Amino acid sequence: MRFAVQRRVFIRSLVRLIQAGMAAAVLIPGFKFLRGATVRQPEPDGDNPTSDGPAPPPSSPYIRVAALSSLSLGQPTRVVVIADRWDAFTHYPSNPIGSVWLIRTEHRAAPSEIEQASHTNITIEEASTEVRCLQTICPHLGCGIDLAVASNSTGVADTDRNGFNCPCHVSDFDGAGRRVSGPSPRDMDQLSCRITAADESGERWVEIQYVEFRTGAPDKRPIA
Amino acid sequence: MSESDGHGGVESDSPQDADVGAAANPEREVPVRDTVDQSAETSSIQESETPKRQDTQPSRSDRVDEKNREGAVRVKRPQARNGRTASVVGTWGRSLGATTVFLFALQIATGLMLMTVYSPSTTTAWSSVWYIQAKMPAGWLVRSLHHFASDAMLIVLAAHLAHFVAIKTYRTRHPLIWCSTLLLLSVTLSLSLTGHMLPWDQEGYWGTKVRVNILARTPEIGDVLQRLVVGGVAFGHLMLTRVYTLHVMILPAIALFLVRLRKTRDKPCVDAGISGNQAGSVGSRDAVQRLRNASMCAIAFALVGGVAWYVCAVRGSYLLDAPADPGASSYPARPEWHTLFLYQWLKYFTGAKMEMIGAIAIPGALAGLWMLLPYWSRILPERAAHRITTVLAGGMVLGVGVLSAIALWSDVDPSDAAIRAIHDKQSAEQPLTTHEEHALRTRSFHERRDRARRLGLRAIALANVNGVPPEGPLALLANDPDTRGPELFAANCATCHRFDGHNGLGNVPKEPADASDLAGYAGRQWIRGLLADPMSDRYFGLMKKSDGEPAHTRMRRWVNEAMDDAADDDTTEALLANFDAVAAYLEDESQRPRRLAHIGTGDVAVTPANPETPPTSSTEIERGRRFFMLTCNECHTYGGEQTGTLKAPEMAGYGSVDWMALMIAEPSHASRYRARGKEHAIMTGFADRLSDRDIRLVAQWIHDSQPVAPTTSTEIIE
Repeated sequence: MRFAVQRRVFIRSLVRLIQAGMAAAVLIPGFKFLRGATVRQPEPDGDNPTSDGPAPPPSSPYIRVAALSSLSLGQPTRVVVIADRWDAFTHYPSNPIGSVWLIRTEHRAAPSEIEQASHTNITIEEASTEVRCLQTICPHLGCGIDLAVASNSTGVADTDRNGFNCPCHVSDFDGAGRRVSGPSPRDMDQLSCRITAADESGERWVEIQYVEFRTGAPDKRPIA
Repeated sequence: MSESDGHGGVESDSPQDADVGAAANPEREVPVRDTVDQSAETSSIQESETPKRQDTQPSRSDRVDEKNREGAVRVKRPQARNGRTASVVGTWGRSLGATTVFLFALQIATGLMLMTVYSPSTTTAWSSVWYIQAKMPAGWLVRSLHHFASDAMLIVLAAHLAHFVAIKTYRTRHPLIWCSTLLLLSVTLSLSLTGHMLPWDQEGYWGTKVRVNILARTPEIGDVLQRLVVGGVAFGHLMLTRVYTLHVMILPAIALFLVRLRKTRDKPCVDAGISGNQAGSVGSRDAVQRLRNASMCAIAFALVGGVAWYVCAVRGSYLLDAPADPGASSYPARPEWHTLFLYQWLKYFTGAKMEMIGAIAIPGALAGLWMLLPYWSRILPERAAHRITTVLAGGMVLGVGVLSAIALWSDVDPSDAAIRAIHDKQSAEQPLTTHEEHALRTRSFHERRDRARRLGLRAIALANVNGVPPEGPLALLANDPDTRGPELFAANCATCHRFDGHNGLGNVPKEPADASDLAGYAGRQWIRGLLADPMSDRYFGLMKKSDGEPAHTRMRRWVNEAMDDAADDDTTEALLANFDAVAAYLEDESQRPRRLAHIGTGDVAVTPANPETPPTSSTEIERGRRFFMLTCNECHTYGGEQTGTLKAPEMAGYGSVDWMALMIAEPSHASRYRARGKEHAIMTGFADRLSDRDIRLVAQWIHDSQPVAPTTSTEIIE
């Protein structure tokens, strides 16, 4: 009798176990399935980064986005970043992956830079040129940040007054991307950026590392 | 359930009980034989037709008793203060449930039709929606009905809940009735939000981006939620298929379950109107209620259909924005009307922690409060509960209304006069008030929105003509000179050139221009203006050689000499007429290259201008060609040949897209500005910076900027 009860309990547990096992066999891969495939990262291009900006995540390569001569001094220019991109089953060999603001500035060359310039083959003017690269994605909720353009009565806009502005929730940033007002939790995200040496046609190129960051937090964390 | 039962059918002397009875009556199965306008408060037909259910629910037994006593018991009428309102609210209010179910059924029907065409992937979603709107027979009707029925369902559901509050259903009927209706509202909202994204247009894309980022802020589970919705880290195919699955499968299934739950928990008469399959006898009052239900459904249908017809057929809207462009900056996203209040509400919470409170904590607390209403309202005394609930509901309705109104109000485009006044103030370097800064922002919001709308209309217009290319709808705009031309010009050309004084997109770059203004390039007016004054700022005036000397001085010298040679007024007039003619000829050359190549140097006789012939006539153009071959061909080659020795740029096909493409790619090409053996042209070559496609796009755009309307020579010279 006692044995029979134990047997019944055992069998019932066994049935539960089998059911649980089957459920797990579906649910665990099911959850993994639903979490989705990780996006394939493009291979690093093997160049040695030599420039300013925060240390980049090792996997993101430098992408050539603009010729230096196409950037006017102090005038932010939006460029579309074209790179290799995977969207699930579609592979786009060269496709827009986002866009960035480039701001070309010049600073008075420090003596060390002049010294450095004299060793290498670059002019002082080249040494004193800097390009700042800012993400267009608003750190608040991810809208695209635009120039704060205040149009005047002639219908021709004047870009030098207001820096940047996000049209969705009215976050304002100054010309260097620093937060001025509005709900953005941090400054515009700066991307690491470098200028190549002049190529045979005398052109220098701006290359950036394209990274997107999590929105809505005061700290700048890349999206894995 | 127990509290709600036992009141309705019996006479009660206690005022409070009477109150309950009066208020509960409209939604309860109370047998009444009343001659006055009480039909809505009569028994539900299903009640008597489902004895099986009653058997299993003993708490309903006294109602069965009441049923048996029908005719013998007279229910106390609603109190005078409710009077007529109560009966109207009661009778028509009951139809709200039926209307909800009807609208839901309408969406299922239209949704199934849409599913047969819609294709969820980033390259086909927009295209298939465009196809539904533009090409499918009655496609616009099916889709706009689906679209507006969802809006209508939200409104009706909200009214349904308000009606529940007014008649205290939350307290008197099974808690699940209230809870499932409230849940149905949130499911409907989710259906609307997911559906909003499916066309994969700019509006849906950026709106969803914001919503997903809000979702990602949920403490602890935010990241997982985001991953589950997005299906990875970037918006793409998987996001669309997931949202599609939610929209057509999971959310409707939940909604159906909730509707079913309402029916099984308590059979409201309201569903009789559309289910209409009840067998057996139907009392006349139930028939009247059914008629009411059917009328309200018909009215809702007519309203939805009317709006759909007006928006799509009369106004010609496609309910479709430009294709989603992840690289686009500055799309001025605004939420749909039903979430506008939330958008405004969130403006008052800045900082990550405060936003969490505003976006998640407070709405969550309110939702919880409402969800548990049937429970806590039963603990409180009847009157207090009703008062609290009414105040809470009224406050929320008012709050939502006020917040939406503020959101709309703050986006109202300021008047041009106001903007002008602010600009005057700015040029006087006076500080602006917050209000004035807001006005400037609002204006730029409207400019961006207008731009975005134009882009949407452009994409649709292009698709209507050419269909959508296999690489997706973004390629429509990417291959469109009118769209890409100005962008490329602003990014590449505007460092030196201008387009009608600006950078192509309407902004004036800070650095001054140092090359010609290309608006109307190689058109008649442009050429004629150049011949009038080559060193004007619009032409060669700003250009400097590497040594800082002005460039293109030979052209000026030639014009000056020609003018000086014209001894008297008559010869000057003849020369000017020839200038007009050569300008007309070069415009023709830019549009139909080498059309007049057969008129060579041999045909040199340049006949005098006939003042009667319009300057664009073919005789004038041919005269211009002759003048060109006689005079200009001395320096400017035509097909590589020239009569003189000085070398100036090739003029065969001058100003055509091909000519410009080579000019942009390789300005130092022998047939362009290296003509006099210079090392390099002043302009940099773009062969290695722009793709051939982009070069041709910008060339085509500049080419298309030639004014079409014919003008007289006096206008050109001014």
